[in-house]
Amino acid sequence: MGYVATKGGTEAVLKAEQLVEYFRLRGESEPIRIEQIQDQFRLAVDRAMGEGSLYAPALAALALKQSEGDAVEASFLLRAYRSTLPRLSYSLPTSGARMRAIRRISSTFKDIPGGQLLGPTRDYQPRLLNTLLNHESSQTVRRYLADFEAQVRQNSPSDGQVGYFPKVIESMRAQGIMAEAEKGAEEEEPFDVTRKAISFPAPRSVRLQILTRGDNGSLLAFAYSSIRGYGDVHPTLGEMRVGYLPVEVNHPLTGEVVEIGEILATECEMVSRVKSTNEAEEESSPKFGLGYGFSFGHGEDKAVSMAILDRVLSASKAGKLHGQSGPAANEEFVLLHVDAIEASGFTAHYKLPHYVTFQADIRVLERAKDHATAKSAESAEKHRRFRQKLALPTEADEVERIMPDNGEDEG
Amino acid sequence: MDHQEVNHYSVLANCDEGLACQLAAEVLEAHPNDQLHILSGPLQGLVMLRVKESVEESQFNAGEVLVTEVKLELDGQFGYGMVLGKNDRRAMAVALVDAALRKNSPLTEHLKTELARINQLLQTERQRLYQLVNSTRVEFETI
Repeated sequence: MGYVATKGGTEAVLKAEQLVEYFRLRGESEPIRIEQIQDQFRLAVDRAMGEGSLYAPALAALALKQSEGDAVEASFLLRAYRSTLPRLSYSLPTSGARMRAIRRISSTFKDIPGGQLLGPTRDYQPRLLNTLLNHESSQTVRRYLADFEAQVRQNSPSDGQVGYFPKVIESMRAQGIMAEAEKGAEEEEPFDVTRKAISFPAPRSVRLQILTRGDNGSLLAFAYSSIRGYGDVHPTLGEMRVGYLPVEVNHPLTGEVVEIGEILATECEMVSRVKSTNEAEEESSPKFGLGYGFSFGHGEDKAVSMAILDRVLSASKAGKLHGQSGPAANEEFVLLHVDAIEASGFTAHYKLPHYVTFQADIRVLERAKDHATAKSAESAEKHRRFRQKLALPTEADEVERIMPDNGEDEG
Repeated sequence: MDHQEVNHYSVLANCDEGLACQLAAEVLEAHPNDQLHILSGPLQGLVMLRVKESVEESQFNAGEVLVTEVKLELDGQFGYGMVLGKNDRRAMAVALVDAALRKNSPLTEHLKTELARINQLLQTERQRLYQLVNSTRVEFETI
């Protein structure tokens, strides 16, 4: 059944548009500047860029201001804006190995080549509200920055490095504990889900693109479902790094490499045992498999969740022993339901008028009811006639027999 | 480009915007106005980021990046500038310096020297940031 259009309401719709602005502003507090959102809500900005699939911090901050902090609405605005711009080029393939890291950890080995940097993280903090922030001022901010810098520069002199590190998984590969990666489609042009409709089974490039632009919450929920109980992949974090990644394109005439700047990004590899179907091989040389996660900006939950899902889906696809054991191992199910804009759009459309559709539903219901009433009346009549024929007592007589009305009140 | 030199695109894309514009201003001063022809831009557009993932070494499209692009001609020499974000000034500066560098003029040597200096500033800034990051270096011990 198609949707039937509704007319009218223009005045009210326009007024509602104004009213939402009124509600955004009626506190009459100092208007927040885009720069402030970009600096001080940097993780919200990064999330909007990730889900909007558009790296543009200033625009993401603007979108957050316009949407009053609603993450999905902000990423929707970014996707809409993106659709108005021409695609000028494709970047040269980049990889996390080229990242200028500000954070780099591994849970597989405590000693990794280059060492571990905790970087800017809240992982080890107690979750206590910091009431001092109520009284933060430009002065306290300046003092904090100066004190922290002075203290670090005094205690640990610069070693001249800027933060390039080898990948942890390379050393794991060198140790021979990784299952051979199936290098299937190396030279193949990666699929672009913004240009072509997908179908299943999907190539790897579709999976990674959809996951990296997916909703953080959905990715987290699917990944969590798998590791908590609806799956049997038990992953360990091989490496997670956050840092600045150079973006390069080809010069339009000469083909030279042109760097156009650096973006902040998060990359993660999760490691889990690959159970071989061959028992002898399983015992002689157990191997590990990898899952890959990537996110624009500083997006650890997304990168880790994506890497877990990638691992779960690969394991399931390879038809090894684990996989197909829970919803998160079903590629079609996961990939079709992680997009924030699609999911919220479909949910939001229920708020639009469905009066005609619903009237039709009601009419169907009424017809069904009439039909049922008619049927039961018919069958009661049949029943009555049948009893009459056999000279059996009628239902009324039966009631009289079971509960004789002898005029006494109860209790 | 005979001797070892810094890549002007990398330097100008990442350095302080004011420094990039200063260099471009010098280029403009050295050329009469009628020698400059903007072929296109500053144009806002998108570059699809291709990432080579580390599991199967395959590529995927990781999302688009907002960029500004300028194509121009300076005294018959093509100049190209593309930078991240909506940033007309920096894109124009890159294209101007690019064109000037490709011509062999007295200015070219000066620009190279300046670029090397700016690159030094950029590297120092990166080292200083990393110095802060490096203070969170951790040695875990098993008990």
